[in-house]
Amino acid sequence: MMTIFRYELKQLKKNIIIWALSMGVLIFLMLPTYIGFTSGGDPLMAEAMNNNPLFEALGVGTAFVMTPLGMFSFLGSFAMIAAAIHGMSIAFSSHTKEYESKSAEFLLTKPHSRGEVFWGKFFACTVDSLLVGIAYTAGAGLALLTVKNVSIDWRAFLLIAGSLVLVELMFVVFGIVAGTFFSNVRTPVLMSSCVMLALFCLSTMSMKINQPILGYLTPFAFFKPMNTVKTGFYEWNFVVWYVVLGVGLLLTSYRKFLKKDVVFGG
Amino acid sequence: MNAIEIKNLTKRYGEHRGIENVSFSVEEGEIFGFIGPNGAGKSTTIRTLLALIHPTSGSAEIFGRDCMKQAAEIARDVGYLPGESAYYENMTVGELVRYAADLYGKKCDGRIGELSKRLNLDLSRKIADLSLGNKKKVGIVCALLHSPKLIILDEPTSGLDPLIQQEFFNILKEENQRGATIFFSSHVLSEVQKICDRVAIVKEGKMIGVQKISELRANSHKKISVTADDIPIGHFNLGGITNYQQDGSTATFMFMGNIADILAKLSALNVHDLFIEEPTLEEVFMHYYR
Repeated sequence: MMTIFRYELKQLKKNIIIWALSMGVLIFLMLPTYIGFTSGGDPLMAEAMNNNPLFEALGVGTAFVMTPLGMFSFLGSFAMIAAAIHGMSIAFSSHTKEYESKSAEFLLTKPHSRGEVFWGKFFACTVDSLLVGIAYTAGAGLALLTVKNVSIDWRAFLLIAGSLVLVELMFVVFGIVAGTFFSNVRTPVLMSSCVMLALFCLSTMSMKINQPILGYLTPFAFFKPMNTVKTGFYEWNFVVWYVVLGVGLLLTSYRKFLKKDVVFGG
Repeated sequence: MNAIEIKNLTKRYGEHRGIENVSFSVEEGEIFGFIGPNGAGKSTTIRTLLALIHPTSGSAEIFGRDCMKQAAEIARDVGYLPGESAYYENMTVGELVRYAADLYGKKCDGRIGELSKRLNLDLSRKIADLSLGNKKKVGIVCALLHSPKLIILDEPTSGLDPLIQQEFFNILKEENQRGATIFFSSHVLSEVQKICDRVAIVKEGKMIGVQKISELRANSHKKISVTADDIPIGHFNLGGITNYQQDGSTATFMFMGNIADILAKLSALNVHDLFIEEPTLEEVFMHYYR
């Protein structure tokens, strides 16, 4: 498995560098700027933010956004969109590329079981996502260090930053599922964007109409930052659901991958 | 032990035909041809052997091991050249063949160098920039670099120029002398004729038969063309004659049977010119496909 993992990771090298730098640098530049907007005491800004339905839909209250961690969570909900597309598309592409380039025959006729191929690809995408998540967390952490006269709850910060990584990893799993079942798709990035958009809309809808049950259907609603700060951890019901859903989907795709016929263009 | 043993192998794609009850075996050390027109089921059979597709029913074994359950173990001893050579476009040839060697867990730098030199393959070029023939050469290197015990080739010469084809056949003969079994699928019959000991013929997903190349030719028609002073009407009225045509003093026909019978008929004529030709395997093949 290590050989496949190593080569998959090597193929993702450029992707990791570009995404890690982009996410890290963007949050590093944006976070102090946005915190500056909200802490400036501008009455116009305060009025614009009061009772803004956007915050409600994103699961962050107006008062919470006025804090550094609140603003980090607010920006994080947009970063999560990018991370979700990234996670799902790399995992989806890791399977579809073998069909688009017709290299599946090359790979699957070598002395490695299909299981090794499956897990090699999955772990390469996982490492990619983790590295991007680490860069994002580091960028945000450094940005918060530049903000003066505020005390940061670093445990809460890590949990909020970690929720982006966890959501991205769930989208990696979605990408693996999609790649296993729809290997002949030629536009994995577009499909990933569509899935992300649908799930993001579902998440905002569940917050807006106050139907938390809908939240179980979309990873964007699993880790609510306000609750995380309040309780000092994620909601356990969602943590359990996250593990069950992730493992269940992975095992379903794994079984499918072991049995599937390699047919190009089918 | 047979290198390949296939019993009643069937693969259906829903409504579409794949292969039906294909059975044959390939002995260790032989060069076995697998011929049939495009769409006959050759690639489906090969892909089932390699566990790329799962059979609807039947069984396939390589060196006594189940092709489905022990695919990864079997792959150690098998080199496969797919019909359509396609690889990771963003890699160079060198990177790809080294990746193949890594997947086999072997250091094959010497062998890679030797094969690429013989096939005139530039290892520094990008896969995306290669012609069909050069991609085929990459496939050959990947299939042979680990010195496999069984070499499975699906339409191996398509895209190769005649000089490289000749070199490729030389390499295959050397591999065979080393002890490798070669399973050679093709619809170009002259190349099967050149190299194979036995041949299986497949038609519309079903096996037509397995024969030695020499028997296939011996049991087939002779193509005869005779020019004589006068050939009386009905002179060649013999069993085993087909496609009889007479144009004045020249008669041409196909004959299958005791050659002495036809020689007796010929000796009764004042023959000026005579051709008795071996049929090409194409003609033999067409006989099966009529």
